[in-house]
Amino acid sequence: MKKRDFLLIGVFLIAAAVLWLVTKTATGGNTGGEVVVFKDGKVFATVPLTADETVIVEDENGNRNVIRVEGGEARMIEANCRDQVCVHTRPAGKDGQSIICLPNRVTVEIRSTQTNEIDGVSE
Amino acid sequence: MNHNDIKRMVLFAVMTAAAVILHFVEGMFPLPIAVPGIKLGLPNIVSLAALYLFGPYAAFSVLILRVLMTSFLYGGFSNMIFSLSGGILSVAVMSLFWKFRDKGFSIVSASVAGGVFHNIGQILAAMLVLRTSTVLSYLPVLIVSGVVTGVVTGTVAGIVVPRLAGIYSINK
Repeated sequence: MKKRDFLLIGVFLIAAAVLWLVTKTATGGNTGGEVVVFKDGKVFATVPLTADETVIVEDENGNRNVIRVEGGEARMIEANCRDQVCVHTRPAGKDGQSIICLPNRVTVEIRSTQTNEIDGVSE
Repeated sequence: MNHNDIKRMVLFAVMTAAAVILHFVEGMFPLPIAVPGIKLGLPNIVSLAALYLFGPYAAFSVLILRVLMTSFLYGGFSNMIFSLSGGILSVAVMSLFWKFRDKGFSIVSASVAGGVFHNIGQILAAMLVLRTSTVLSYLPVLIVSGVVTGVVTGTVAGIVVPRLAGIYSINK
């Protein structure tokens, strides 16, 4: 490897760190809110985080995802997709966190119910 | 078709076959990481070899042939979209670094940039397919993984290319 290789690697790692900090401040923080389940980019179901509920997403192609909302967290407990990445994703419970099942086009997002609680600037 | 054309055709076919096999081998060892899209990118070694031995035209040909074949064999349509969007962006960026190979960027730079942009391409495709921007939160992790896997595959390619150069010599 040459000097410029290390330079390039450094640039990418710094970019990753900056992006990580940006997303970190944008998400997390307050818990509470609601679980929004999307199928093919459309809202499929909305469940409050405090609920104790199971959402089953099925489509005509036989794709199936089971989402369990319990104890202030949402997790994907079952999916019939190949890679099972979503099932191994850690549970989502904070604003902005998400679970994504790419093969079945299902996303689970945590959304704050108190919209515009603090205006970014007025902190 | 002269002698060189045939040699070139056979070499492209051999490299495509090697890439398909590396894709298959990679699928046998899933990484235990709960982030979608993290892969070692072994087939990228072939793209890099094609690029540094024969230039961007070869790299794009081998890439597109490999993606079509692996999608028909193991994947499916959505798989093809992700592999193509990641792969094309990756080879395009690697071609840039290949162009500037005399400016102090080795094959590892090309590989690292290729790995990172492969993942960026896949995220862009995921944003379109899922119609959500939440996938962007995976970007930092995927950039780091692109760098790590890029160093690995780039180092391997750096060893492979000089050895193949002697065997695969054709008049460009």
